[in-house]
Amino acid sequence: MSDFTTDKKAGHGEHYVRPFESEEIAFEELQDAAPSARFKLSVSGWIGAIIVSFWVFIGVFGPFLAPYHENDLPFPDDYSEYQAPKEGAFLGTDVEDRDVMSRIMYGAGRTIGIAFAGTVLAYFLGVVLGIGAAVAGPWVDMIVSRINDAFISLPTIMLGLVVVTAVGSSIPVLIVTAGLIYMTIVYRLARAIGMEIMVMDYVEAAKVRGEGIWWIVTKEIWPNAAMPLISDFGLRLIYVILFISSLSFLGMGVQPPQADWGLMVRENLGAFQTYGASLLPVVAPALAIATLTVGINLIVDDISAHAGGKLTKAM
Amino acid sequence: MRKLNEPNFEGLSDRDRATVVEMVKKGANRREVMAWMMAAGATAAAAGSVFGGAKEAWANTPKKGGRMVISSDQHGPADTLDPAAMTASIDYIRSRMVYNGLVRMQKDLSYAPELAEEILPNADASEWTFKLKKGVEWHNGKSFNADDVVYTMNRHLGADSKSVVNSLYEGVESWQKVNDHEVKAILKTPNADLPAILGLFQSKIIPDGQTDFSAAPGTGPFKVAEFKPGVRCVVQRNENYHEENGPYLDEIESLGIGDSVARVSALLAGDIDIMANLPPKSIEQIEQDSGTEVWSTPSSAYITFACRQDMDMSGNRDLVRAMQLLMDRERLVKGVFKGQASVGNDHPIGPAYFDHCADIPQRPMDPDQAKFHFEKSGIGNTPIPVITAEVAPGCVEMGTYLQREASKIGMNIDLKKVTTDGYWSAVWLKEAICAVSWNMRPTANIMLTLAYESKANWNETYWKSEQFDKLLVEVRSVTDAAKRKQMYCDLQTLIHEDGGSITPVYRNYVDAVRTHVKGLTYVPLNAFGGAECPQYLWRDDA
Amino acid sequence: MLSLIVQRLLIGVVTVFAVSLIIFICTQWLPGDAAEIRLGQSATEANKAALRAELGLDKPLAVQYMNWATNFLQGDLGKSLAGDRSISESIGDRYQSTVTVSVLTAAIGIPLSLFLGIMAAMFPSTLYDRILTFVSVSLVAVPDFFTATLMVLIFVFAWDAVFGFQLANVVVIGNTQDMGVFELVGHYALPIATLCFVIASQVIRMTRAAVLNVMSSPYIEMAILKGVPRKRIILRHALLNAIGPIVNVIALNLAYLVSGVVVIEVYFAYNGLATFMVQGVQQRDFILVQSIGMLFCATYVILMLIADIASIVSNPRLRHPK
Repeated sequence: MSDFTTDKKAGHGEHYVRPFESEEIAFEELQDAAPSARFKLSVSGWIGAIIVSFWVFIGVFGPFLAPYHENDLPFPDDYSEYQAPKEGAFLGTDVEDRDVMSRIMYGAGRTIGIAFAGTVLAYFLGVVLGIGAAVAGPWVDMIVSRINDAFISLPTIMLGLVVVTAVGSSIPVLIVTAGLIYMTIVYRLARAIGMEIMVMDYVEAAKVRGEGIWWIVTKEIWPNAAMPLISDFGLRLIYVILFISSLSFLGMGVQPPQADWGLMVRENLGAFQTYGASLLPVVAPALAIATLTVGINLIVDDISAHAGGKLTKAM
Repeated sequence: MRKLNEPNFEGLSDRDRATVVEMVKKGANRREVMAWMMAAGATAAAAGSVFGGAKEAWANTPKKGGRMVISSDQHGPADTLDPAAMTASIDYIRSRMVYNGLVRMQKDLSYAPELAEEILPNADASEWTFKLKKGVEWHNGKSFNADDVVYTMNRHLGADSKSVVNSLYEGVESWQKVNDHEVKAILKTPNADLPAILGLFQSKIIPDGQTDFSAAPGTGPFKVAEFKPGVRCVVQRNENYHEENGPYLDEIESLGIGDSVARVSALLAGDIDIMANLPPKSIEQIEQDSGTEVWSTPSSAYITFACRQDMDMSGNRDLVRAMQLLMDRERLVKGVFKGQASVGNDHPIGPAYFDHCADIPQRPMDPDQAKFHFEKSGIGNTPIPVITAEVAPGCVEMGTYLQREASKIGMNIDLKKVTTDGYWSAVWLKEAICAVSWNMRPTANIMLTLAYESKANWNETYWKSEQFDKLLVEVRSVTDAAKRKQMYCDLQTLIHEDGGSITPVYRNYVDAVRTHVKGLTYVPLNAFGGAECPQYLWRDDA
Repeated sequence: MLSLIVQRLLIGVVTVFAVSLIIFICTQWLPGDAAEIRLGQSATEANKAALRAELGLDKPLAVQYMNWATNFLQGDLGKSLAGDRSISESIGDRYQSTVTVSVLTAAIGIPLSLFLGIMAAMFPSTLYDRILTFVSVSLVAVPDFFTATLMVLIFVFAWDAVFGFQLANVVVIGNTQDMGVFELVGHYALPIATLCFVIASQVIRMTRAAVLNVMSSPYIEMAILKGVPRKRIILRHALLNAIGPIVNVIALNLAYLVSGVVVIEVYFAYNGLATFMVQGVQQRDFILVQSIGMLFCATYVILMLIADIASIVSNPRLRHPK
């Protein structure tokens, strides 16, 4: 019984794309991967699912449930900021005297939504290009991979900064930026997996049978590549949240007065230097990010445990 | 209650005073000083008061030695020691360490001679003669003379000048050397404010022919020992300085800490001695901490929303008035600025200006009136784009306040916060409504000429008023005090009533220091007390 | 092997130049130019034109890029557009901070993380493993400026309150060029500590995953069935075969430490190369941004090459690629 064990793909974090070698791990995992088998969540997987569902629920319904609008003042006549929790402001007030809880509820949808949309975009582009490169042959692969290498070697925050400076920060821009930046990493992963599958016996057999390329991709490659990619998805999501909050630190992420968890941590950091301030405005959104991450990880661990490594699980 | 005939510290002769201070400095205690005084024939009570006075005098006597670290809020590869290229407060303070100007600006916004001993305008202020101080040496040992001044000043003239204050010198025809210690400025149009322009940081004097500013010699109180743009700059005391009162510190290191949380931490921890731009929320923390103090320089720098009057929506008089009536000025002053500001009245001439007009009634916050004007404007729920950036404390909060209050009367403000870099070239003077932060200028006339005259380059509201332009030129030659005051009041009223500016506050420059930092200045033109402090700074623990 | 290295280096050089071109195109896309930013709020059109002419910004874009490339190939990195200092001098001012922090962080953080990760792999599913995994997962998620703030609170202010002195500086002040290693560690303690947390959480996870991954391969399965003790299997067999992915992670982390730590650099106000690049973007100084971008790219390419060589050497199967 193991919940945390086989998170190999978890290692493919932001900086961990294994450029020239990820074939090997992918290969070993895929040996055991049964494409369409169903799997059950473990206990910790369930805990993760509950945490994530909770935040997704808040994300969707938060603005309707929140006691105040994200930009409203619960105590308009009181000029002091960072107030401790009291009646009318369950988690206290923030740097501009707004209700922290309402802002977390408004921010949930934005934070999760941007990260989710950005990751989906990164996956869509990365998988299409990556498997495309694997299928299309050496020349296309060579050119696309070199361009991809050039982008991947630049710090993500740098690329984000340039794009946001050039076109201004808005939610669609952040989603597209995150999508494009993280596409480079997904591309690598997808290409490596695709390459590996291309030389598998069953694909060779399909080729011999005379199946078209589209059939091979959809019926053979994708079902086999899906599991490892999905287990990477959760972590990519977290990296996008962190990426957006780093941009917020530099004043380039989600723009005030809109609420976003990363931005909330950033804009309330001054609480540590404000006399008599409540620290909840910083700690609460940081905890929100942390719990979401842990929740996602718990689920990811279950998925990747399912995707391979049966022996370790048995041990 | 001190009796007139009782000897007190101030009443002693200079020589006795110096002796007593010297005794206290060397560690004499109360009893020893009293013994000395009584031996000289003073009563016990009188001798006691002398001791107290001497202690205080000694505490206020600058001590030589020590080192300070000064942090501004920004630095980077654009840091420069070339006065003509300076645009940031880190450059300004370095400019006051290394260079001198012909004049220096003072707390009351008058000017005092620095490298110019005498400043002699002709009758209509169209020709100015400057007699230069003799015996001043550059840091490299060469003597300072008129060639240096002419070379420096010529860099600001002409259409192809790369000086950032090129436009302010437009009225100057030429600079001429009369002899080694006298120069003359010939003006195209008379201007009594020329010395104020010479007091700018960009007008500091550099040596004749200087083109490389990596370690420039100046005549200032400190010599450059190390200059790495965006990393640090270290200066050391100029032992050969031409003035008596300073410099006192051995060495000053200056740098920029961009993040305000880090900057405040560094000051609280004692890593730095002086920091610029204290976030208002941290004021109380700095006051409560026994090791730090707030350094607030009252000023009439201001932040404003500039509404372009030449555009359809932002030029709608009722919209502008509605927005003016929505500004919760008290709340901004108390909430955002923690009292380190004063309530603004929708014109640029705040109370720190000599020509401030106190007679204009304060515009209140009045949502009902605002609603009336907004409905009259006929804009309805069309989004009104407003752009802001963190160009000064309060600019973003001002936007959020406006947006929140506006939504209550059905006004739909589309607030966009953008980044500060590129703000002045991409947003300011281009967008319909945007937040602007202005430093204070030495005179009301300079301020109004820069930003409100119809033809001004920086007429950010694109407001055109013939009456205003006429008055602005006329007032320059008015000498009658009452008439002048009335005219300036009229000018301010015109902007207050018809202008396109929403100016809710005039703000102080709020910095902070460790408590051992003494010799602070309070010139209202910039952060760091007008950046005039380096020469006077000293440590009371040195 | 040698031909592989040569081939990879050649591809690397091409990639580095591709980066310079990408950056050049991207910076042209930014609003405003170096002349406008430099002259600030008060510039007139004539001033700007004069400065543009001096900086060569009035020439067609292709000419600007070719001029830069020609000089670069002759070993002249050019002058910054933001201030008149030469690029090589400016980089010289700043590379030391970056090198100090990344080397010290790597020297302290990586061995520690490897140890913790291997321990976790040795005792999977134990309480130790679970706690470690939980902590490292949570740390991955917390924004680094939050971790940095906690470091300052703990090691400076709380420490001062309890022990009467501060354990570390908040910002890096003073001439660090002449300091010895121990003094440097003292000055850079907080950024190093923060970054250790950031990379540790990642290296621990990857080490553990890599070791466990090898554990599931048939030959280890065989060893387990033969009854070889787990500890022995890991230290003797699994670890050697897991070196490839682990070295790779370390290399990627080093690349991150050199180029990606802008938030930490800003927070602790030490002026490394990443901040310099950000400032270059803000000043629209494409020459500066290109130079540093190429430096980052070259670092990345070389680190990756070293990682690959290490994994090939450690894993004989990779010596003869399919």
